[in-house]
Amino acid sequence: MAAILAVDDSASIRQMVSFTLRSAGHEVIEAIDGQDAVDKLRYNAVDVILTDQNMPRMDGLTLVRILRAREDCRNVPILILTTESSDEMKAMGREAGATGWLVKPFDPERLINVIDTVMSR
Amino acid sequence: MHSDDRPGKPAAAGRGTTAARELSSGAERPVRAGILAAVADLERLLQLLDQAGGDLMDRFSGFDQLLGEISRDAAQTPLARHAEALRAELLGATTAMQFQDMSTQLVEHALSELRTLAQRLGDEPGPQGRSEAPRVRRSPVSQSGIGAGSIDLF
Repeated sequence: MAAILAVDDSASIRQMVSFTLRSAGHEVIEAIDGQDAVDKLRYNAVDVILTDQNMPRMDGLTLVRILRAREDCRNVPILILTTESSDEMKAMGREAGATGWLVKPFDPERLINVIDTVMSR
Repeated sequence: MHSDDRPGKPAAAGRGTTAARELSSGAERPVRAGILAAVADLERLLQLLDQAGGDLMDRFSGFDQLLGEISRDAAQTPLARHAEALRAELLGATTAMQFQDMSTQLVEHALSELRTLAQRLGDEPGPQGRSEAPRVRRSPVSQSGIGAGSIDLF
């Protein structure tokens, strides 16, 4: 079981992600945008972060860059889960330090498998 | 209609830029009104999507909670197996249930473009008598279906 931070400004996506990951036995903490994620990570240690890209206040790529500069989050897998699917955006994600790029909508089984894969690396 | 009064026709020589502006705004007014009507429709669509999505999520959540209770209360019985089968079916619906997020982003993008167009049509022409061409922003959603998206691990 892993502790996973799910970051998305869409309540429905947060709910879908939480339902999917909890059904696989994971604990899920939710954040409504990048800034909320940074705040929640002050008090919570997590094993994986799953974040949207386009969000108010702080987007996913900014969140990745901020967390990669933090000692406690440097090695935490960060997956971007977004509707953005261009190669250019994926390259930016890779450059920022993201672990992977998942295009919405997600398939629940594949999402659970990806979480297992990045945790076992 | 006098031929010189046709909307969009270039101003006659000697009538100056004011006349040209009046002719231009005459042609733009119905276009702007149409765009604003489309904006109002899309705003209503966003509200409907939000309400329908919220209602679906509430019921989804309630169903999930009930399944959890059934699984606990009927542990080690055939009913628990049925509950797990139902949960698997519910999980299978999560891909399609993400339609609200995708459609909301698409509608918000279309709204933003239309508002910019409407605003520009209402603008006074610039120094050269013409506003700069608006830059079309890329849509954040490129998918045309609700099948699962790609996965790239770096």
